[in-house]
Amino acid sequence: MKSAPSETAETLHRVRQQLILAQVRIMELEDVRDGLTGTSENTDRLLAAAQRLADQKLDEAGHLAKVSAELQSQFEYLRHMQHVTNEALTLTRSQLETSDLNRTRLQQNAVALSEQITGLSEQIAKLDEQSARLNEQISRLTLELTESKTTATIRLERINQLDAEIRAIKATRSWRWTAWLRSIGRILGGRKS
Amino acid sequence: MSATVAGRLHGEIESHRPIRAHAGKISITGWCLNADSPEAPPVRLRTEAGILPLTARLARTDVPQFFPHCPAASHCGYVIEGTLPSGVYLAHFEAQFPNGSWQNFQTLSLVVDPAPFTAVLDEPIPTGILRDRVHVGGWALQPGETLTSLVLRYGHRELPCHFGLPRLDVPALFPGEPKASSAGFESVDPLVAGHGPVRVRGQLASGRIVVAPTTVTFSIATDENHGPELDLTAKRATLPDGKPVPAEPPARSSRPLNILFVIPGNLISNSALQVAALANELAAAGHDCVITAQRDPGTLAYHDAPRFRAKPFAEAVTNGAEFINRRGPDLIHAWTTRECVRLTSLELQRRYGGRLIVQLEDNEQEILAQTLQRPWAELAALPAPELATLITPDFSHPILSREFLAAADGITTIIDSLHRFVPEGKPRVTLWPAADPRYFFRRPTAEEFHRALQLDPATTILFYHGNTHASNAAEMRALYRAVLLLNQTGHATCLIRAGTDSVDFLGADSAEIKPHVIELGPIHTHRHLPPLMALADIFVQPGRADAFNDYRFPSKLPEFFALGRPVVLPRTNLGTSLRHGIDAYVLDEADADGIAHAVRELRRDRALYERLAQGATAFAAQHFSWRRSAEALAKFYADLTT
Repeated sequence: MKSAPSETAETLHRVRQQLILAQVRIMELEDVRDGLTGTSENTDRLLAAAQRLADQKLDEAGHLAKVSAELQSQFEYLRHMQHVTNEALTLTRSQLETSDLNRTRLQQNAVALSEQITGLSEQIAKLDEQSARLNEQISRLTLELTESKTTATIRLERINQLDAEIRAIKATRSWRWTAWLRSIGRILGGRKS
Repeated sequence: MSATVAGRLHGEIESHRPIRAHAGKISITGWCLNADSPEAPPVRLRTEAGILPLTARLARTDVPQFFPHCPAASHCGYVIEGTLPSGVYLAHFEAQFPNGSWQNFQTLSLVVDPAPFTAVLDEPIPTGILRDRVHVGGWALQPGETLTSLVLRYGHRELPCHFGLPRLDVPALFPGEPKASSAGFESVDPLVAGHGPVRVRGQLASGRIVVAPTTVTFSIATDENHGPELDLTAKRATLPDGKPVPAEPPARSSRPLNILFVIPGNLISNSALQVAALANELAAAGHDCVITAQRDPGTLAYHDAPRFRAKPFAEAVTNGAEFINRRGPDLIHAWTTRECVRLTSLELQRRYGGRLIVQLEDNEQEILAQTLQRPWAELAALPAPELATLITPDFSHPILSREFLAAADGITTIIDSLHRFVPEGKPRVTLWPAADPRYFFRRPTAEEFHRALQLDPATTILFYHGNTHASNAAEMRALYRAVLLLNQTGHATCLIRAGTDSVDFLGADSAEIKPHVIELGPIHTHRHLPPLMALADIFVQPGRADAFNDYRFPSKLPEFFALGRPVVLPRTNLGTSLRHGIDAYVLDEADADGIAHAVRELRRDRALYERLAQGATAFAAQHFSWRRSAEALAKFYADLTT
């Protein structure tokens, strides 16, 4: 069956239209293709970048794990040191408490001693006064003693003079010749007493 | 050089990094030694999907240089090969100590691509050209997945196939793949007429489409529905391409600005294309440009490599334009005085500041009057409440638009005649539109495609892209009638038309005219137009001087001129700046008779045709440049902001 001329023209017209629209569609698909190619390349690049980043982070994580292990061991050491320090601290604290008590006591003693010192100082002052007085007395007494000694010396000389005079008297014939009289006198005097 | 573990284990992975295994196949090389052991330790690759053991040991001459006292260094190279399911893994490379324990010496990421869809066509031939109308068959397999349909594609044909047929040879190629033994397929029918390399296209249970090429070409010349007169091996006619002259990058601005354009409609309207072109140039010069559009922000996808960002009105108002430097706009350029633009621009300025510029590109008064079918003077005299009910967001308000212009810091116009709407003393600049030089340049005639359309060589092809609406319906009717008139007077003429019609402008003449018009409908991607425009012999802009045309600049005109074809147009807007017979064919009135006369003369006078083709190119080069328009606009902006 042969198509009518108008039908053929219409078909041809439609084919022309569709041919052009097909070309438009091809351009659109080329855009999509080019876009997808770019997207795919971008995705690949992003994936590679993400992997590189992940690898870098894995390296960092490995490094951090190592650092963490070292820090853990340091931590353990420090914890031990902390324990030791704590014990020392406790001991020190207790010593400190004891010291505090001692200090308090010493302070109290110091206060008492201070008071004693004050008392003693006062006594010393009194004693000093007494001493001064005594020194004055001593001086006076020494002076008196000196005077007394002088007096004694003078008197001793007088005694000695007198003794000598006595002995001289007693050595005299008169004294010896009167002995008898004195013995009678003593006898008599004795009876009297 | 190497990863060291505990000071005893040394190792390295030397495969290209990042490690990516294609089609599931792993092959990794490297070296590993234990400094305390005279023997290289066993190594393995451990992932959550499985463990791959050492495949082979390799001698190394380089490693002993670094470990001269380690006897294992000379033979510590290793190869690990195997397959893993597709996925992204942490790959732990481990070595074994003499006590049997495994120690990790390196961890890397590992991406395993899925095995590709593989298909082989081997029945009746495994390679070459098959010209017989026979059943064909082969095998197709997507490891790990199930096929739900399979077809062969070649040329313009698609041939359904039975699949899941037994194949005894395939399991050896895919050990461990359970579906390998039933990977066979066979075409349901014998081959039908078609020509082209064969692809196997399958759909998987996951819904994914997979395609695999083959080494076979089907070339079936005829069948019950295709006679020998149809040459299926013919080369596809293509539209002429061409290369634009690469443009130098623009000079960088010493004072970059934040520029916010507010445009009506979507991002593929004529206004939007102009704004986009300016924004691209301004952005290339260092300014930060954002376009906020009334609707359809997704239409940004139709722009090729935009240098600007786009936002819908609501988002721009709520969040600001979000310029890169986190400051507000230095300039808000309202594209037209239409209500949607006016209200949005004022709100944006109130919230975020910036100088206000308004672009005039049409006689908005005339558009409103034509649309409402009421004289402008009458509309302007209406009381405000009544006006409020008449003025939709897509039109300019007779009173508020004037206030808007008065409040603006500057006015840009598309053509000088619009200056009559600019308030006295207001800074202003005229910016002619241009054509995107990446796509709109002088293109050779599409002779090959012309022949494919089976058009008589004497047929004149006109091309027009643009929508028909109330404002230009009469002009479009004139163009269509000119085409009819030409054909009726023995001058075969075909109009290729892109765009949509929102009004019936042909009426009863439609049946008579339509056979001479190839309607393409909307071409959404603007850069697809130039190859189609290359089919044209002459471009025609219908119309005449009037209150609408005198104040507009049809954006397609620069594109017509850039293509290097004679342009027929009326003595209005751009037409008043052109020299008839030198730059273009300028008609006092581009009505049906005038257009038909011009086309006939151009077809008859080859010298005139060539002169006007050259004249169009020369005029375009001299007067239409987005670069120059953007530079003028940038200077205007700079003057307003200093």
